[in-house]
Amino acid sequence: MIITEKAQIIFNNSLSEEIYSMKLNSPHVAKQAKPGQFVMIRITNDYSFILPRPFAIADCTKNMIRIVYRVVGKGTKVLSTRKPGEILNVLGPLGKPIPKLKNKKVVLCAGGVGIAPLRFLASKLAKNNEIFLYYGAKTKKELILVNELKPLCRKMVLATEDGSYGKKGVILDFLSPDFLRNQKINYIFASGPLPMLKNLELKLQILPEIPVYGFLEAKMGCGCGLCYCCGVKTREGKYLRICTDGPVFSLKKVDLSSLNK
Amino acid sequence: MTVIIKNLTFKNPLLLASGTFGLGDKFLGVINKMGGIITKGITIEERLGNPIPRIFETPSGILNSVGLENPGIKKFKTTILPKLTKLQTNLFINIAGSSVDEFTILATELDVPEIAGLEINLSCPNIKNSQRLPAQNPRLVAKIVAAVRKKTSKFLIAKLTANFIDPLITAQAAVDNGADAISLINTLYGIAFDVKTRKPILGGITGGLSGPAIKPFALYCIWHIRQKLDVPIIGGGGIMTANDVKEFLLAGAQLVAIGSGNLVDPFLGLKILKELEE
Ligand SMILES: Cc1cc2nc3c(=O)[nH]c(=O)nc-3n(C[C@H](O)[C@H](O)[C@H](O)COP(=O)(O)OP(=O)(O)OC[C@H]3O[C@@H](n4cnc5c(N)ncnc54)[C@H](O)[C@@H]3O)c2cc1C
Ligand SMILES: Cc1cc2nc3c(=O)[nH]c(=O)nc-3n(C[C@H](O)[C@H](O)[C@H](O)COP(=O)(O)O)c2cc1C
Ligand code: FES
Repeated sequence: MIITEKAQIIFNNSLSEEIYSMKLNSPHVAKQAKPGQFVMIRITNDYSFILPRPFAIADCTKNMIRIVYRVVGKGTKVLSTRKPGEILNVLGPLGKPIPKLKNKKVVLCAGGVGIAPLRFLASKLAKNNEIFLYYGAKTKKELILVNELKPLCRKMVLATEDGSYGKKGVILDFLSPDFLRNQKINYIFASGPLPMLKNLELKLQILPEIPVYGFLEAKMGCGCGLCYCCGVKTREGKYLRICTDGPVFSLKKVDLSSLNK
Repeated sequence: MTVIIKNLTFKNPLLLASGTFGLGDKFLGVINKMGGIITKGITIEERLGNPIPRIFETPSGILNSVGLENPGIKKFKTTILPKLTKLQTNLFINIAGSSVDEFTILATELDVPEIAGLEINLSCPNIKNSQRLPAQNPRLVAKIVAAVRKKTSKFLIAKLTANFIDPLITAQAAVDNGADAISLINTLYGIAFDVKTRKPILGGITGGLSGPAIKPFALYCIWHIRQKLDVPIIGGGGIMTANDVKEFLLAGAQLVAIGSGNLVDPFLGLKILKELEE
């Protein structure tokens, strides 16, 4: 059940210059949250920022949820200045959870802060699946959460665009179709910038047997299916709502070009 | 807090505004506590809506260009309406035709017992052979309201506009032709540009401005009409708190519609109701 709750900030730490990790005491959301889901967070409690902002649930313990976010504009800038002890309005959990998997080989493919939702997914999958993480960022500083993820993964491939850590290049350069085929990978989950998702979809056209899912984003109004603001087109040309039909979609089903501005 | 207008009883003056609470099949715990819900606009054919982005935040306001995405009247009746039969409040369907005929077809299709009434969306920018909104033309308002009135005995709301017209004139036209209430101010015209790309931000290029930014103007329009016309008014535009509701009632509205506030928090209606009861 979707609820709103007043959540106290436990910490709001910077992980790099522009990336923050915020833990919130949000027991009702935490109790129900599942990988794939997200929350809508009000930036301030007045109406100076009218629309709440969507963030993936990056981690979830008994009473707490954590989000990991990049400062990209005015809302996230103000969010980064909010202090422990302060109260934020949280609406959630939103979106469709990813079904539970068992005894599967799963590739997680992350670009930049796209690692956030995969962190939660990895922690759940690690119990009875094998995880292969492919994770790239611009620089070493932006490769976050690596220490948390390492123990959860059977294999971890890291890359930076400037070569400051791991392999040099974009992460997709290192995800080879031969590897996926030989390892008999069952599922791929990808989260990152739109061009990454598009390239991944193109690259995997030669492996139609492997389901590949992407975490999609659009500007949202309500986050819960009321306003029809967050459409993504299916390949048949109909709109689905990212907030209630997703945010995780089979990349074979949706037309990613409909998300271009 | 009960409000009675014509044959309808509203358990409180709060309605959920069209386009901001879906089709009435979600958050039933909120809907059932309200005086009523007005669905997203329904058209004859299914409409896909505009490309994204469909929403943009402005100071104290929201610009939207959803573009009337909806399943069309047939699918609405077969897949959504059966789910709404158990609603414990007044259900209004917002209808958006692109000609007088289309409005009458929609009204005829919706002359069914589940529904308390219709809200005629006269501020829909898709009317054939016209660059203007129907609600900017008193003669067209008269024609559409009269035609719909002939097809239905349901409670009839005319949703007017305050864009480039004195809504007093169109309110008069709506009342003279059988509207039981008028609803306004709907959104105001708006556009926003991305200075980096030098292009409009919204996928639909222009949009409708709503939220607290339009509240004083909305209050003015309602007050202005109330001075001259004795018609039930559903007021809306930026309602976020119980105090906002009180202001609309003071300006002369009998009922109010919460719009953008539902996007900020889908439980806002319940919160406002609780504050009003205290
Ligand atoms: C389901 C979902 C989950 C998300 N999870 C995360 C997350 O875990 N971590 C994270 O850092 N971000 C996440 N985002 C993106 C995040 O919501 C936006 O970065 C944030 O809303 C920007 O707010 P702002 O006020 O700072 O930006 P604004 O000042 O409104 O805009 C600044 C820039 O950011 C872009 N932007 C704004 N909103 C979005 C959006 N929804 N998607 C993509 N670009 C946007 C704008 O186009 C603009 O270029 C998620 C988005 C969705 C839809
Ligand atoms: C996202 C969104 C979609 C809307 N869709 C409709 C619609 O389909 N039909 C309609 O008559 N009004 C529509 N409206 C207008 C609202 O019903 C309301 O009249 C307007 O937003 C002003 O109220 P507010 O400031 O409280 O939002 C929409 C408004 C928003 C924000
Ligand atoms: S954001 Fe409102 S429907 Fe998805």
